[in-house]
Amino acid sequence: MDKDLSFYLLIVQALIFVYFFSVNSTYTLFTFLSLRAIRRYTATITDHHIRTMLGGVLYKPISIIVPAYNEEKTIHTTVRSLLHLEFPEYEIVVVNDGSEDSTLQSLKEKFRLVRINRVVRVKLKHKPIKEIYVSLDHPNLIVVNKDNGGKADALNAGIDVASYPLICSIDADSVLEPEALLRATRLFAEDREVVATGGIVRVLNGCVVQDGKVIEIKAPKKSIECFQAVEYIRGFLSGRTAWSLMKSLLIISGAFGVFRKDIVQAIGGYRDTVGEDMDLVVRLHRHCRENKIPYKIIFVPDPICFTQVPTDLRSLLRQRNRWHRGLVDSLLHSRKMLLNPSYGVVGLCGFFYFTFVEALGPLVEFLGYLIFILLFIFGLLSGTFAFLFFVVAILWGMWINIGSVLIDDVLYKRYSSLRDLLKLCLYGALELLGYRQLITMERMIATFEFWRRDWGKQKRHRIEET
Amino acid sequence: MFGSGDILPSYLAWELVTAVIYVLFLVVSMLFLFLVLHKVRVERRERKKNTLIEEYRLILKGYLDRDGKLDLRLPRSPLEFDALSDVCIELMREKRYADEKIKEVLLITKTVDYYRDMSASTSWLKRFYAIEKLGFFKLRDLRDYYREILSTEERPEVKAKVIWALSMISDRESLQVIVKGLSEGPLLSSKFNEFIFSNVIESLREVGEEAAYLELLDKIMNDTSVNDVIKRDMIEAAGTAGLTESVPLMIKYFNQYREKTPMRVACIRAIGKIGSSSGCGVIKEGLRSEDWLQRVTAAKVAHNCPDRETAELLKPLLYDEHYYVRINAAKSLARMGPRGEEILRTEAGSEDRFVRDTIRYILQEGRPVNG
Repeated sequence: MDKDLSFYLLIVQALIFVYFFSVNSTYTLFTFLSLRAIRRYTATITDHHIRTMLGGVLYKPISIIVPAYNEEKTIHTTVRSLLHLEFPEYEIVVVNDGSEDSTLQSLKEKFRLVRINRVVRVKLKHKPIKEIYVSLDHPNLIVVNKDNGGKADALNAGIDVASYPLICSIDADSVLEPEALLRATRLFAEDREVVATGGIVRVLNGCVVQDGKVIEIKAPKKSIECFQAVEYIRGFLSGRTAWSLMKSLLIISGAFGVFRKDIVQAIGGYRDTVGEDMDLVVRLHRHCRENKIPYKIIFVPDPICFTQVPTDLRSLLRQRNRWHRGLVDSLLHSRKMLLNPSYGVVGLCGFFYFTFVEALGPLVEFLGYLIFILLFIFGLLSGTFAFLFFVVAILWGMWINIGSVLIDDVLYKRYSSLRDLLKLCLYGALELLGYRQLITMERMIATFEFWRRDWGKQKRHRIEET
Repeated sequence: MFGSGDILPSYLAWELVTAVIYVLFLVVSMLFLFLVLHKVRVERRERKKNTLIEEYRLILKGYLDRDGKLDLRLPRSPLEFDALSDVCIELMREKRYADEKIKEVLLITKTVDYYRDMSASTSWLKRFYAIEKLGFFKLRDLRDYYREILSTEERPEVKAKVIWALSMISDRESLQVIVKGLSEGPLLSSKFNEFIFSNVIESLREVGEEAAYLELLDKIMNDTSVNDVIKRDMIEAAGTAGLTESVPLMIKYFNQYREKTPMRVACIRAIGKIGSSSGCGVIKEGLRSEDWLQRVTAAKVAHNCPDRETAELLKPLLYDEHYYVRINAAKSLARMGPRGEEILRTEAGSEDRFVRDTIRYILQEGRPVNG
């Protein structure tokens, strides 16, 4: 093999090793930071305190916006779960985004909807609203019927119809815990600078749901769901808590986020992109920094939203492809923030990390695997060393995953069965043996398809209730 | 070659990787073991606490229902104190039993002493936790103790908690301490301040001392050492608590703070919440204001003054340049009864499409139009 080429390969691989150690060290550090932050958080927020919010004035009314496109299988459970929420003053705005199935019809029947001629002040860009309905049984349930325009478009229509100063966006296949809203909105009432908060999203698959409420939290049954359960725990408990602590939280999941309506309107609402949730948060940072508005965007670890995760590989890869395209698109759209000191810690740390680790990470990781194989084939890598390095990668990954499961158990004690926890640990250990590589490959492909705007057909499953 | 001396000396690479593997293996094993042991311990603790709660609930309910002798083993462990205090707080919230008897239980069982000791801890998290528990006990005897803590405590989280605890058992003197505490510290949200002052009003009402609140509000009107935000939040709280006696004072504030929109808006809103006709002058002035925030707030509550003058003032607001003023003016007219509805019906034929649609919506609001 050409001597120069092998030299360059070795140099690149050495750089990739440095990258690997830096990223893993960051994750490890995040785990420790998060443990401390969440411990402090849970120690200061007691159930008694949350209950006082129900009877007093310490709350701000909220509109929950649920965009729905072909969600006939899940929408009833979601709406029913929302109607059970413990909150003094809220409305639910379901936006039927031109569904081709019977989403609207079944909502009409189940919740006895009647059409009203409501005047809406159109502040944001979205497709025309055709009709507005209100439920006879639940006056706080409003259904908006509009032409199909995508999720961002539906959310913008929902914001225009919303009457309250706070808005909460949730996915149509999600289920909120009864106290989730109280916990997620508490900070808006207590801290004048809070403009957005995001709660933790957990995997619904495997849980026992009754009358729209999750009554027992269990680990999912299928392997592919278990891998995702571990990913969600790690991503939310370690990643987002740490970024929130560093005032650089760039993602609030579209499945569950609360925002101040005035500030969302000030930035023109959601932008038409496949990663509209991240894009909104990045633009919120930009807007507040550019206009010198004191603000806080916070991850709150205890309001819980359960969401259905894909149950087959094809849907999972399609979802990850979309997420990654959304990430790249958002970063490109706000690229002037990258390493720009006028955006403070967000531009210098958060944006930098999301660009080089989250967006370009899959590419680097894939390159690492490729060069590793090439070096091995060309006899430039000792087989035993390669094996030992692989063991290091697996053990380090296990540390981070088990650490996250441990944080989850220390602070929330959600999984009551030890067996479920052990199952998650097992999948945390197995994640690096194939699953991670598959996801990396898909994300790498998505990096080169960032201009695509399609969502892909999503497979929905009925939320099984007991 | 990697691991063979080209990049790193081979012995160093081998030894480094092997050492890392040992360390990682050890850490992972320890984490795993800790997870299992922790889970077992935590589940056992949870079961024990639930059993204790059930036991205490049964004993306390029996005691409170029958008014007999309290047959309760004194709590000793932190878990027992936690369980007992939780049950007491829950019973106080239920409001089925006299608070004084529950407080007596807390004193007899030395639960109050336990949390008082904890509130002197060096860990701010423990202090925070203890103050919150004590706050829920609503013991008026602790007023001096809270005031003492406020003068020494440095942690803002604990300070805010002490202010909250004090607000629930407030008296004339405590109110001044609360106002000073809220003014001095980093400004908390208006909602939090309103919450605190609502608690204060409720607490003063219990002992028939609401006048103290109004006296202080009057006294601080020209006091520049008290932040205007605090004064505004006190007015909001008076409105929320329906403190009718505060209306003349609100009118005074409204006239004094001519240039300060947030204060004037707070006065209009509070008067609107109280619904007193003596404040109609303020509402009408709000409707005439050039400031749209004052107009919208006044339009929202104008139905409380259902006279001809108000209705006539609301009429041009149906054409206001601000959407929220228009829609609130229309809503208020609809709530004013026949006089308001008459104006709406006349204006329903307006050339302005937006006015027509708004009025049509208001007149039909909540009524099914078609299935």
